[in-house]
Amino acid sequence: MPLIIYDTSGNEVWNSDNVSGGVVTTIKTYTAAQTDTLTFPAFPGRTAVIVNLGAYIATSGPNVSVDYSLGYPRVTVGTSVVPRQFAVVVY
Amino acid sequence: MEITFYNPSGELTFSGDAITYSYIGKATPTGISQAGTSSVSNTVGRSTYTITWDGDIVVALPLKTNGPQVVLSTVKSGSTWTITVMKGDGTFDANGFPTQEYTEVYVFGAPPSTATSQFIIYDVNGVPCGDLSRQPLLYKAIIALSSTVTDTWTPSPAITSPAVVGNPLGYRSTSVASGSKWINRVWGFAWSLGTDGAISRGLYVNDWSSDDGPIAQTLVAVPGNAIITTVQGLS
Repeated sequence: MPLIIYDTSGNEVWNSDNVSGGVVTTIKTYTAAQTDTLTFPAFPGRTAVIVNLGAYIATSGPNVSVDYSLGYPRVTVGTSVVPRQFAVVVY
Repeated sequence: MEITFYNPSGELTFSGDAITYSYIGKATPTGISQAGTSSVSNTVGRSTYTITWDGDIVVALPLKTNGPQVVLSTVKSGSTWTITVMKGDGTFDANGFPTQEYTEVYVFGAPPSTATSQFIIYDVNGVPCGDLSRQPLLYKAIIALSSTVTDTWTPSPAITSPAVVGNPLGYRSTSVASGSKWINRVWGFAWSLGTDGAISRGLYVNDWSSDDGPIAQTLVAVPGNAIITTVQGLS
């Protein structure tokens, strides 16, 4: 059974059967020097991606990685040369 | 009760363990500037927009064929969000900077802690994490661009009024001799939309300077993901 949302005119505007996968679990901001580990045990077996929301002009990336060794997504934030702002999106 | 929905492909499309960002409106344009015209150094122009919302937000930037376009910053002060955008109109000044024009800035908000609605979803801690009285961000795709600068993603079927959440990252620097000086430019990455619907990175001049010597010439695209959505029907 899908989740369907209609506007006030009765038009279907969102249908969980007709959209691509993806939910935002969190939006995080870090300085270049900060490190962190984020875990998402509510989403076992799901894929997580990092969506960068900052605008940094640099030759290296934000150094944020995802692994699944725990059976659910784990995001590791390493040090970088740029500040980081990103969303963790799971589908 | 846990609330979770999947699409027929088995992908997660809604979860009470996540945050549902729902449409709160277009941010209001508050100012636009063009790149400077100093003979020494200049920076790209930009436009700014504000919207009032107590909760967190994400910005969906409509993709237009006369780009490049990118969100430069999203900053909150009190309940006011200020969004800064670089949006070229397809023309360039003498230094190569894209001429700026306003665009539409579509904003999707997470419910604030004080949210009231008949359709609030709460997480396991009792914190509002979704408000279904507003249209959720509609995922058309999550794209992944590689380190190949020219990497392109073309939707099939075509997307009407495509928009993007997320920014491409990278760096380009160029040097050109000009008399006894060197014209050095640092370029940023933005989004580009082809007339065939292809979505790709677009480069724009972010900094221009006239220096005594050249800078190293570099071109690096950082791999990354972005959410492709549509703003069709949103007013």
